[in-house]
Amino acid sequence: MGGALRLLGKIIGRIFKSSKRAPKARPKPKTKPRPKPKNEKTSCKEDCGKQTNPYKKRSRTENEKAAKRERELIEEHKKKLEDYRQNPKKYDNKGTYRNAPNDEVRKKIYEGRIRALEKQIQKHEGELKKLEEALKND
Amino acid sequence: MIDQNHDGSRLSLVLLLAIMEKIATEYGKRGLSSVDLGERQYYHAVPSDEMFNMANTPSELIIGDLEDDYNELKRLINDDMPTAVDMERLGRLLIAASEAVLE
Repeated sequence: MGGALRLLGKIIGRIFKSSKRAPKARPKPKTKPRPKPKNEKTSCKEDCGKQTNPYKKRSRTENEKAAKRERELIEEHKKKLEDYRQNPKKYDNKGTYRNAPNDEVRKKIYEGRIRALEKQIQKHEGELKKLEEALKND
Repeated sequence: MIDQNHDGSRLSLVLLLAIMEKIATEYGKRGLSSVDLGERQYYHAVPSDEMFNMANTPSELIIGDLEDDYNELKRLINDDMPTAVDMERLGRLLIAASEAVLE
């Protein structure tokens, strides 16, 4: 595998494609500031980390398409997990598993890899849950 | 590039993209537009849903697969939908690249 940093850059671009660049700073207009409603959250410091569901801002069609893809990815990952369970050597392209110094290390690789795949499935399920919540409230 | 929204706790994905572009350009000039991962394939990792909980030390590590990460990410170049798992994969690959460029 030739890990190309440029390709990783492109991938980052694809991941963040929908993010918009921050607008350039403009001089503030000399108008009186609007009085802040009591319950309005304006500062990131108040709600950072408590991310609102970003999918609620998207169209139903987009969310349905994304949810469909998440379901497909969950299925693909479940198949991959099952395939790995049955045949870990198939994925061992550099012989790390086969040439492990002993059975204990081999077992660690096998079980750790299974845990990693399970975590990936959980993460996909987490995103799907957010999409389904947005669709439910749409 | 100045990140207008930086307040110390929010992460600007746009800024990260600009930084990645800078890293790729600079390392390209050093002849490292691609890095040789050598024999690296599997790696130890802390599960991402446990790594930020300082109250508990993760009891078990997971084993990631750089080849799997890279192959899955390449789907995005063909316009597949990015997911949170892809962000994680990208981070793991960059860690591997950071080790490989030192050799």
